[in-house]
Amino acid sequence: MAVHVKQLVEQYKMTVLAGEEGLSHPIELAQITRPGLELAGMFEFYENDRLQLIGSKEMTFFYWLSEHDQNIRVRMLFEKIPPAFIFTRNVEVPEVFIRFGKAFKVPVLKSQMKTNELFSSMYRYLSAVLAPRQSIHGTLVDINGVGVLIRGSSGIGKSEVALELVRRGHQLVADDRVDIYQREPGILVGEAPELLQKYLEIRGIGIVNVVKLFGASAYKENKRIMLAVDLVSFEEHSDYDRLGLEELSEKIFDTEIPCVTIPITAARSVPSLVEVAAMNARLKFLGTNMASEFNEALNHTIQSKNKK
Amino acid sequence: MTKRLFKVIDEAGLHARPASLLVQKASSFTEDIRIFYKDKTFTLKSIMVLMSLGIGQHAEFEIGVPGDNGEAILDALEEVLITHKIIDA
Repeated sequence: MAVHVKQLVEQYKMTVLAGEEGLSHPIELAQITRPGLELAGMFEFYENDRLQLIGSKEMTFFYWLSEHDQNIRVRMLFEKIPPAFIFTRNVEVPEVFIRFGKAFKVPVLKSQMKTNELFSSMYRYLSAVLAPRQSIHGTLVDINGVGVLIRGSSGIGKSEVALELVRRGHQLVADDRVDIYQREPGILVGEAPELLQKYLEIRGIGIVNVVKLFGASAYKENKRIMLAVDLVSFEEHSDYDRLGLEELSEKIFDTEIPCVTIPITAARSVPSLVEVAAMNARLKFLGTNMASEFNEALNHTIQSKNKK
Repeated sequence: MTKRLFKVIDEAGLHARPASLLVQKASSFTEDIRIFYKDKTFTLKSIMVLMSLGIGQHAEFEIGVPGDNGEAILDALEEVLITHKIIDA
C-alpha cells in the first residue's frame, strides 16, 4: 500500500507552508530522518527517500550557519526531492525552506507535535499502513485483552461464537475476513476491512451491527493477534490435544502465533472453550503453564511412590 | 483448479442479494471454491468476505473450483449470476 504526503498531512493535522504540488508524492519508507549532519555539510549519507523531520536541535544549529551556507545546504536538501520536510512544534520555519519548497515543489509542513512524539508516532503509523497485508478467513475477537483469531470452515459457527463472546462483554474486531499486517516482527495486528467494521453475519438472523446491539464497548478497531483457535467438527479430527503440554504455533509473516484446535460437538459450549483457551494463553504469557504444573505434580507423585 | 472469468454488468455491482445467493450456491458444494479479485484470492463461501470486496460495475473477477467437478459447479454459479443480471447471459 502506498501513502501520499497528503494523507500524512490529514492524519497529523499539519499545516502546508509551501510545495502543495508535492502533496501527491508517495511515501515509500516508514523510516524518518533528521537531517542534522546534512545541515552540517555532510551529504554522503543523505537519505532523501525518507521524510525529513526538523526540530529545535536542527534549527539551533541552522542559525549558527552563515546565510551563505544556509542557502547552499538547504538547496542541497531540496535538490534531491525528499517526500517532505516537517517542522515540529517549537520551531519557526525559516524563509529559505519556504523558498526552496516552492521552487522544488517539495512540501514544507508544520506540525503542532513535539519532535520525539511525532517521530515515533509517524513511524508507527507509516509502518502500519505500508506493511504488506494478508486477508485471512476467520473472526478476530479481543477476549480480556487477548486477541484471538477464530478459524474454521464456512458454517462451523465462527460468527456465532463471536456473537456470544461479545454478549459476554468481549470485543469484536473483525468477522469472517481479517486483514492482517505485521507491525514489527513478533507483533501481528488484525483489523476488519472498512466496509465490514462492527458487523457480524449470523445465519438465520442476517447482518447485525454489534455497536448498535451491545454498545460502543463491543467493538475494537484493531488488535494484536496472540492466539489462533481452529474450530473443527469432532468426527473429522481425532488426534486433538488431551493434555495441553504440546505447544503448536503457526508462522504468519515472520511472527509465530500459538495455535489450538478445538473440536466441536453439540455438548460443548464453544464460546466458553474459546474464552478458556484465551485465558490459558494469557496465563502462559504471564508465566504460568497449568498443564506443565500438573505434569510436574504427576512426575513428583510417581517419583515419590517409587522411592517408598 | 478450473477457473472462469466474469465481468459485472449490473449498475449496482455485485450487490448484497445476488452476492448472498452466490455464496449460498457455493456453500452447497463441498469444494473449496475461491474468488480471485485484484490479485488476491478469497473464499466464495462467506457473504461478508464477498461483500467486503465491493465489486462494482465493469469489474472482473474469476471463480476457481478444485477437483473434477469444476465445470458443472461453475455452470451452477454462472446461472445464479445470469439469473440476477449480474453478468451477460
